Amino acid sequence: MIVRRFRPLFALLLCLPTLACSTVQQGIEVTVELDPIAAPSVATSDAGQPIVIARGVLALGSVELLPCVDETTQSLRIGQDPDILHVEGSPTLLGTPAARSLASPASLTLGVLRPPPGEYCKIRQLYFTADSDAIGIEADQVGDSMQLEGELAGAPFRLRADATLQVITELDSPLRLDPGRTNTATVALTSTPGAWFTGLSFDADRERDDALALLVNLQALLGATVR
Amino acid sequence: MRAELVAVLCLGLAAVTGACSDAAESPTPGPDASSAIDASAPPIEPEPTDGDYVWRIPPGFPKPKVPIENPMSQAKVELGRHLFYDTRLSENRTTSCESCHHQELAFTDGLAQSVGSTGEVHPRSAQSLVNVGYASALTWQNDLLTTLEIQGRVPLFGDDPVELGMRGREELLLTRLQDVPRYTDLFTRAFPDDEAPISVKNVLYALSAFQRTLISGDSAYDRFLQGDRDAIDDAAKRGRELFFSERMECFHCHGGFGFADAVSHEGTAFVEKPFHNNALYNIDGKGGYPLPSRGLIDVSARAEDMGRFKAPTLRNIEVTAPYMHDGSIQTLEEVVEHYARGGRRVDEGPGKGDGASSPLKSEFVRGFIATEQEKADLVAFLRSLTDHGFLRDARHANPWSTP
Repeated sequence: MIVRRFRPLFALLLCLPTLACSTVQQGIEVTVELDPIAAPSVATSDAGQPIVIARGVLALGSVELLPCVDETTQSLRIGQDPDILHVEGSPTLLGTPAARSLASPASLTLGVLRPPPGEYCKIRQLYFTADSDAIGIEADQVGDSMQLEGELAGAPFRLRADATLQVITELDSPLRLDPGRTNTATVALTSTPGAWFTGLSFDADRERDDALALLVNLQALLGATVR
Repeated sequence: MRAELVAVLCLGLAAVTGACSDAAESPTPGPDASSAIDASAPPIEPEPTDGDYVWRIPPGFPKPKVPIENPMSQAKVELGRHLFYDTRLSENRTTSCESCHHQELAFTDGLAQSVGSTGEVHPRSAQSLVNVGYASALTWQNDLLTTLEIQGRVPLFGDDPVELGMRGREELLLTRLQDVPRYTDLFTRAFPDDEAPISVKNVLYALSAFQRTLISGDSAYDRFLQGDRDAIDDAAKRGRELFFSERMECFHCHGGFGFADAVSHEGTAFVEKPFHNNALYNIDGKGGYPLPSRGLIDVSARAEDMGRFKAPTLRNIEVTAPYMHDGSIQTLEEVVEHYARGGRRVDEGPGKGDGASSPLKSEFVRGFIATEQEKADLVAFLRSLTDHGFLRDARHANPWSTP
């Protein structure tokens, strides 16, 4: 009697798992990888003195996919709190802090973005002062966005900066993410070998300015690509 | 000692005026109100009122907080405006509030360090009075002056440095005001319940009421926020992106409707009075600032307050050069360079040292790598914060210039 009365309900309950199983999550995933930063094979100062790199780090704060629409239009959210730009993460922004070595060829899969469908034309990297929980950071590197230690003509040097660095790379062709067609992609942060030390004085009294000059040089060598 | 420090500090947001002749209602030097634009500026939403005073509050702005003991009234504001522009308020009748707070310069004076009525050079620059009614900290480095009514005593009666130089001359001040027929009428209307309306307290109250009306919120950027997408150019739009970015961090200390962080208004639950060390100096490797102005430490005596100053509003910043508490930076471009470096390096003189290495500097002054174009864009955005109507608003102009 009871079974008969509630037969429709039982039938519905029996169907629920089936309904759930039939739902397909068709997400888009973009994996973010960090390639090793290419150190110069032969490093010298502007004065021609040899430089040996011993240890160094660049503290990555975020990686962001920028859509192929006018950037300004995109983020001018009229009437909204501008602080909305101050976010830790979003479907297009991976806010996982990580230390990129400037001295050893280390690579890392940083994480996965799940952006909405669309076309993305630029990759933005931001380097900040490192927190203690940044992947790969060492205790004496916390609080800096860049550190580099080495020797100049046999004499030790150490450059430190807490400045913020932004690198925006325009992709050769837009990254088109389309459910059912391109569901996965890999964005790799890359670098090209080049002159790191142009414009640095290595004057002990100019350490900060040298560190900022090094950041400018690195900025020109860092990039990103889609694989 | 504490009282002395208070008296010495801060250049005075308010001031007082006195006319050049005794009983005559002679006009004092100042902006010519007849050339000012009509202040019927932009339409402002439901006009809140205090008594018969109708606020003209820009869109997005809250209502200013008004002390219960000094309610607003139109008559009081008008009296305060007269006093503000009157050199009778200085002992030697040379100086008024306006002498250090010119309307066309967003109520600053264009000097690195202001000069008092006796010629004494002040340790700091005159702060803008723009939106001062919203300020929770009124001066560069003093967190004890919490209301305009209290703060007004500093320029009027302070003697280290001398601003208006009226300390011990209160009776002289009142006598001068009593001798001016216009003031008899103005004080009576402003304080109708007072048996003797011309008093020091009422001078301070009226000046405060006037200053609370100095509300600026109709810059090109404001119009842009209200939907006029052409109100600012592309450079300013890009600069806005940078200003509010994590990379440059400007908005942390200069955010909100006032482009300042020391803000209080009606409905404010927790009043913050933040002061920041922005890495201008580091004379000893420990973050030290040179005398005579070392920041909040001069009031609090706490070591961690070395170099901590109020972050001023950036509204109308274009016209308030030179910049910083001591006017030591001349242009907005140099200001941006200072922050890009994460602190200033001074190679010689009493300020010698590298502020960027200061252990006391704010966490938001880290420096950033930016292109020349980006720096120019940031400056373009700062210039879009100029409220030209405010700078010429007849309601704030010298009343002695009009018949």
